Amino acid sequence: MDPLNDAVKELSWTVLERLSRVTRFYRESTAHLLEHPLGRPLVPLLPSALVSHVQVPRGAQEVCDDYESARVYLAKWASSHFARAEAERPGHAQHQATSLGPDGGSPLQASVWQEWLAEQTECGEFEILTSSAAPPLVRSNQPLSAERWVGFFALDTPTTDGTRRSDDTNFRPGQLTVTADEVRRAVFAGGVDPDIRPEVWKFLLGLYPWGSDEAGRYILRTRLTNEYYDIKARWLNRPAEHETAEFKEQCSRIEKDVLRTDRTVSLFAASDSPTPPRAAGDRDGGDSPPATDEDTASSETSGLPGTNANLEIMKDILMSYHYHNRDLGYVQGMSDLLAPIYAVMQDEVETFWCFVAFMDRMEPNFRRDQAGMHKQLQTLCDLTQFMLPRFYQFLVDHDADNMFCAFRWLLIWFKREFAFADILVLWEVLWSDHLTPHFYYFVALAILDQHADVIAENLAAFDEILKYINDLSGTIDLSATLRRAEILYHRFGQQMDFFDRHAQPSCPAEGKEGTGTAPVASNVTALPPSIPATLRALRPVRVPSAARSTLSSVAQTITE
Amino acid sequence: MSISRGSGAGATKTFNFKLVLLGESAVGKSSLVVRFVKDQFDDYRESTIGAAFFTQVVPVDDQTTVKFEIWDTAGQERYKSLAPMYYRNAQCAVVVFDITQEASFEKAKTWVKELQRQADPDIVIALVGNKNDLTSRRAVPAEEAQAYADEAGLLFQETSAKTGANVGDLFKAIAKKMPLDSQKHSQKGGRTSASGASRPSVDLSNGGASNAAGNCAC
Repeated sequence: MDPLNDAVKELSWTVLERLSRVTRFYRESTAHLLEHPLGRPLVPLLPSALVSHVQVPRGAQEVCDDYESARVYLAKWASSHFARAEAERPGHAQHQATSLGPDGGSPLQASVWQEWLAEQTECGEFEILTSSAAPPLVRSNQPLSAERWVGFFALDTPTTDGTRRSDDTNFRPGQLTVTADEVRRAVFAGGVDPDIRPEVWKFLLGLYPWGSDEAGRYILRTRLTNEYYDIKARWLNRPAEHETAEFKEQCSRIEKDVLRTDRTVSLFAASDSPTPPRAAGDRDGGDSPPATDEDTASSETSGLPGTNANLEIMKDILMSYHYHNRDLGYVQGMSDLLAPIYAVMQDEVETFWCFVAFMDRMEPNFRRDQAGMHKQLQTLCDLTQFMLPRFYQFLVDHDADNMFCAFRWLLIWFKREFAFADILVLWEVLWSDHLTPHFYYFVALAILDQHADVIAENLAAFDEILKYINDLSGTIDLSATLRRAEILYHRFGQQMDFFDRHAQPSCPAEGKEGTGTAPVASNVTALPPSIPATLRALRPVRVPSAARSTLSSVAQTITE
Repeated sequence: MSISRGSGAGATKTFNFKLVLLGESAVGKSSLVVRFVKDQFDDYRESTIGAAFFTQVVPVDDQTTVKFEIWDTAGQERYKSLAPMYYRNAQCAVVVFDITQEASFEKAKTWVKELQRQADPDIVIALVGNKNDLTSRRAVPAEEAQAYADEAGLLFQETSAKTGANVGDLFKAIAKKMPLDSQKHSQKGGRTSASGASRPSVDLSNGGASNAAGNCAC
């Protein structure tokens, strides 16, 4: 009897169930799946031979045939092994990032672009893509420190001759002395130190214009505060408003979701107050008679678990957001976008405006027609075809090229995929817009790239793929993913440039490409397939952040 | 629930069915399926974004096992346009409401109507009144729901995902109602190769039109 088969028989459902428990448990942690105390005892149970095989051996296959989801767990486990192996080899990811490389004997078909290349060149090699040096990676994992951050701004400190700089009429304390791009780059490189996070986020999200100074921001804060309470006053302590179907519906939706948002995070964990019998917001309306709106929607949902002060503030913020943007209102998923912002700001007014700014970006995701999600899934589909052609073909063959497995990723920016602390870093990196405002597509692509081989070799259907992707939650290494995403972004740019050069036959290829480095160029007889507009749009178009924002008329007024 | 290894039990027949969970937000759809599949309950289970997939087997008798491939969906109205891609190929549907929420019962009725109009004509539908541990706040009388279910030709069960009450019975009742003589759903010897009865053909285009031929239809 093959010892491998013996070992595989030990891989009982119980063990696999336990693995799945570990993954769920891991939502709150960034550490590696099998490094966890719950996971570690599993290691000796897993056959060592399996460690070196992505292709699950026949014995394991039989077990898996009995329990379909076991295959998903095995695939997941195999993937975590590779992630670790990769982490142990610095620089390996650089080479791992997939591109339109040679087929490598895979039975999977190539994309239209790869087919075009195959027609142009006998060997099918694609040296040109790797011949030009990729720019050095910006990602460093070194968070922007408080010291460096403060150093970005003009400080009113005494100069060497004893005068104060504020004596100079042109001196504006608290004004940025470096470019916004430099700050964005630093944030992209490693996120920011938690101490300065609330301040940095206000700039990243456009609450504070990059050109503002301390005096301007003071005025801005006052105005934003007043404006917020004006918005809140449209519904708070207004019994007639609370009688409307619109209010009741919003109130009920918000309450249902806020009470089940991130309750494992300590800030939101307590259930020290009962769910209020009246509408959210009335608890601080001391002058409102308690009986006024007893029968509002929230009393109908009082069967829900207990709440706490932080959750109650989040409810108020979301209700106010509804009154700020009535066309959209509250939609499921928004509470996920709000919770990390609240956790960082811990201030109702600032959280509200940061959330509004974030929603300016995310609003298309929540529109009734779902057009924003359609477009994004299409873009990710195109990007996968362009960058991971063999994996794309696998998805096509398994009815998974709708990319619906990435719906949750895109809708709420990976909020459910990473530990809470990691989300703070991921979002600030994405908000930095350093390489492109669409970097989240490359994060998605990086996760797919990381798992493409394991998925293609172990999973056999759309439902399994969706389950596998959903179950990655809490197991994805953020640093490695961001690194991979950056590499993929540069590869993407190189491939675009390459195809663009060859899409213009009237414009002869540059001389050096006609020689040894590019076997393709000399053989070109047909135009390459056109690159879809969805992909062209991923290239950065620098727009001033103010132009994108519908944040508040107030914010515009103090910009220089 | 014990699960046989299949290889030794050659006489057992396993039938695969695709089941979809529908219903208003926060009525307990995910809680119900997690209770059924993992026998767990979490007071603070987060809302479902997109969809989740589970499988679970139900032994019907000594020779027969039903395996449910369960699609758990997001409940909020805004994501309603995604539901057809999950129920289109479903052989059974569990439409859930919350017995303490009258509105969720009304919502369940609209789901039933939609299924009866749009889904497979042979689909087996179960109406489920969940949270029946909260009887003090009951807003939907069991008799009313039962009468509606009888009239509409649905299975009916009141459950509590929290206590586990009637959850196993619900899925067993559905399993027994399924057409267990049909060859197209059967797989001998407990093998569940990846090709089930019918694979979900998922697309996001509104109105449920089929995918554009050969290319991405997202």
